[in-house]
Amino acid sequence: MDPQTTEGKTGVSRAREDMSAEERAVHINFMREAIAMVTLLPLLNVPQNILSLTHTLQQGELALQTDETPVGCVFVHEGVIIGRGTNATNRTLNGTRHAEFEAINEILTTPASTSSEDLTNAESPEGVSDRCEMKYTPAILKECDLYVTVEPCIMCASLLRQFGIRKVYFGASNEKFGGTGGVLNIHRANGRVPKEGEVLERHKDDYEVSGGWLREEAILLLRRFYVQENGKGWYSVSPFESRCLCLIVYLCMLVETGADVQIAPVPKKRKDRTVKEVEPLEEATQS
Amino acid sequence: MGTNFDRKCSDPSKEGGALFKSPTFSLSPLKTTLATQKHEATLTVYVSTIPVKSASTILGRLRNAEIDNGLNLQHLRRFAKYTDVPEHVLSSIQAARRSLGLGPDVDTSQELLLLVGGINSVSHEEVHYIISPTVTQVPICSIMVPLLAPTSYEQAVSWSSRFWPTVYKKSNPFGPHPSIISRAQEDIDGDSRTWMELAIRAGQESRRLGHGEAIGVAVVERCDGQSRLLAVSGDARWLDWKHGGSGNVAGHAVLRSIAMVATSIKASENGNIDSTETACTAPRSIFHDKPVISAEHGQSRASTSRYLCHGLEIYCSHEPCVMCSMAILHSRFGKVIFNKRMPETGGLSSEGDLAHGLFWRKELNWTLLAWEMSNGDASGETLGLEINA
Ligand SMILES: [Zn+2]
Ligand SMILES: [Zn+2]
Repeated sequence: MDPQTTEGKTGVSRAREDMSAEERAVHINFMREAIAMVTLLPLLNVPQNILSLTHTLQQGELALQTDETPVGCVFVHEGVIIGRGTNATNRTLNGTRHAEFEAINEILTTPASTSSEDLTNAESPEGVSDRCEMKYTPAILKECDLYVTVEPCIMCASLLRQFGIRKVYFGASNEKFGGTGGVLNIHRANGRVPKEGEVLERHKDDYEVSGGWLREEAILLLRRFYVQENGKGWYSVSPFESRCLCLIVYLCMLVETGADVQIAPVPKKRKDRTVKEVEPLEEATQS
Repeated sequence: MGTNFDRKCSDPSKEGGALFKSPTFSLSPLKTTLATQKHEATLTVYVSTIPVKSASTILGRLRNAEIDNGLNLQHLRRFAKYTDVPEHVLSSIQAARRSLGLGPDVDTSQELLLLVGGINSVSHEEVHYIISPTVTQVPICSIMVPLLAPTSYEQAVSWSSRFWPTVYKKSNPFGPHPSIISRAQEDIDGDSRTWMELAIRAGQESRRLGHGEAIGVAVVERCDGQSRLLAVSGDARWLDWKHGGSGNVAGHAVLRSIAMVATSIKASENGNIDSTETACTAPRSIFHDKPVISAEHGQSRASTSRYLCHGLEIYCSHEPCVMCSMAILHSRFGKVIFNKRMPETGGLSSEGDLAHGLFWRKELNWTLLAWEMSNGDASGETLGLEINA
């Protein structure tokens, strides 16, 4: 797709010479997390379809499939990932559920704590709305950096502008819909094109953008998605692997939720473990 | 909810009449970015004079020369009578004659003016050869002509009087074909007021209840001349929102309507395993994808086989912001109609501050038809200019 690129595996291009190696490593690390969101995509869907999962488990076969465009992102606040998202347009039948929306939704709906004190406070005159305190206020987004595998589209670039964001690091650029350079420059003056001789003043909602991080890997993900025929997913695992996977998911759920049937959408705190478990699966499918 | 919906649909005169008394009410198609930017782009061309009787011979030589490479000048007449061109063209050709020492007297009935080609695609010598390989003195002048085809009959008339005889071929090089627009406009002309009024009313109710700004949206499906309401939503940026800033950006009315359509398609497909998902997902979300006020509806579309909001109509009380405009494209809507223009934040128009004209841009993989539905200042809420609708 991009024969002229010679940046090697890191995919760090141009404009970053002034960055120290340590700093670059930090960004690459977070971008890896964003990519992991996509490679983990089928797994993330599992807890939400737990009934069908146990059903297929009985049949002894599991084919984890997805037809979502593989885009993933993480929001980072003071060096800590506070939200993750993947594209969910097919699952929701909603063409606007891009990874950025999903991640912001996660951030803004993370409960502060589940202590009983909060729950009693909840019966405020407003009723349901203040059931529990949220961990983050929207203002935190202005102090966040976004790492996303593909350049945000025009819609998401505007979403980020309206909520506020500090800086966007992306992998592959998006010539079809890109809102941070690909088609429009929403991050600068909402995309207004300066008149001749005019210098655009910096607006308070403007944000920094840096592209090309782990670009090859992001492109590879997209290519693997588009190459596949009939829009079906590229993950299929053996019956044995499926049993292991189900077991992991089940254990995660138990840890997350106790014996309750309530299922958390993403087993967040177990991420390190899940990453380790999935990588061999991916290799298996490539061979 | 069903009966409420039927009542609103079936009696447009009563329901819609109150707000739209204004006689100035009208639908006007939005201009595309290309139409506004390159509206008056010009090209400099060579013009010469030829005897009427040798017109066909010269035309043959002109064709053989193949000089119009890359340029489409189909909207300009090749030959023009002296009486058909503007005064400045005549004086240019007279000046060319004078410089060759030719007299001012011409039998204008025996001569025609010929547009040879752009000065960058043909040389002076070639022009001379085409007009006459034998005659030594050929008056040649250069004039400015409109580079691209006119988008209306009026424009063609105006250009003919200013530049060179121009033909309106009912084509639009900058956007949807005029006949497509006019046919689509006929389709929606009958009931678009009703839908717009529902959108405006949902916005007003949202504002009254403190859910959001007075911005509302209605989504309509139209099959075989029958229109059917699928979703109505009001802005919900302040709903469950204790913070300042620009509110819950995901609660914009357009996003909510799109989500309602999706939710109802999903609901109608359910009965299968998917229903567990709605039951299990966390109840809290920034997406207010279910109706929360009485003016709001979510209804499954008739043709469930189709995906997203393909081909649907979306009526917006205010021109959608950049995010919502792009959301409309991502959802593959077929038509968008808005009431109040948002000159500083709107993403659809090609004439505002931003001038993105997102409804029709060649770079994007989806285009749709867009109208501004103005009704004077008779109704609707005026929002702060800085607000993203
Ligand atoms: Zn997006
Ligand atoms: Zn909006």
